[in-house]
Amino acid sequence: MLTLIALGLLGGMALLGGVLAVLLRDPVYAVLSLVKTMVGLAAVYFILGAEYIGAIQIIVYAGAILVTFLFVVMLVNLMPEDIPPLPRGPKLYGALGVAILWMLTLTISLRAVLDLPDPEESHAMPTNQYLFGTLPPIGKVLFSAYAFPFELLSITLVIGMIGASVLVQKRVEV
Amino acid sequence: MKVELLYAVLTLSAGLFSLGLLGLLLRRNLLLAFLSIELMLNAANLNFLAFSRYHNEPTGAIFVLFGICLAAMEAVIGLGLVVRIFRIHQNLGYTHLSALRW
Repeated sequence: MLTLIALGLLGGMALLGGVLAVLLRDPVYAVLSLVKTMVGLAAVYFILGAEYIGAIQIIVYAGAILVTFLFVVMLVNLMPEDIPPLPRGPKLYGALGVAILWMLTLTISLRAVLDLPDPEESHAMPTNQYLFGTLPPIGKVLFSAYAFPFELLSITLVIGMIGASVLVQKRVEV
Repeated sequence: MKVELLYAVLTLSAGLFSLGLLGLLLRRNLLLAFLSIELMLNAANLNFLAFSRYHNEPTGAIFVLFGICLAAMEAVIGLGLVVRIFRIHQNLGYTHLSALRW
């Protein structure tokens, strides 16, 4: 019960950050409210028991990705006046749109829940001996079953790095 | 894990995803539409972790790890494109970007 209340509060914080990121006109404020969402989501990950992923979420998302967004906002000198306002119309339409989309996506997720096997009988892994999100089980699986995708991921990161530096450099005439 | 917690997390993730989708549809600015994509990616990550917790096995967490790495890379490439487009057009509205339209 306490877990559900904490989840409600932190998830509400994450949702509020998302709403502000969609609605706010000033791009700096929109990025900062998305930071709030990321921190709230990291707290939700901690509640779920995925401590490692929660830490990575704060370091990579809030610390690196969104700071890069802030850098780009400053680099292109994006002012609140440059942002076109949201389409006109009653605010009710936006809320209605979110509600309908919410119901649709929730229906899809709950359809997946119905197909789930009962965890009590189908899983031999003892609960609480190893929480799934702590470092030892993740490391064991990551470097055994997923070792090859892990190496591919590093190549992908190098490709991304080279691609980004090629993209932003000034065109050189040869 | 009790199934109520799974339902609660799935609800939260569906809400975040629909917010991101709506933001992507409504925002007329490349950078802010990109921000909404990050929101949707995070909703997907949350779903992975919820089911991973439900089955108590780390595979979902590993997919989230890969997803975060790919999101970082995607953000870098996308922001590079944003800077490039800004240099060419001097603004970031995307309704006039029609050079590649079929």
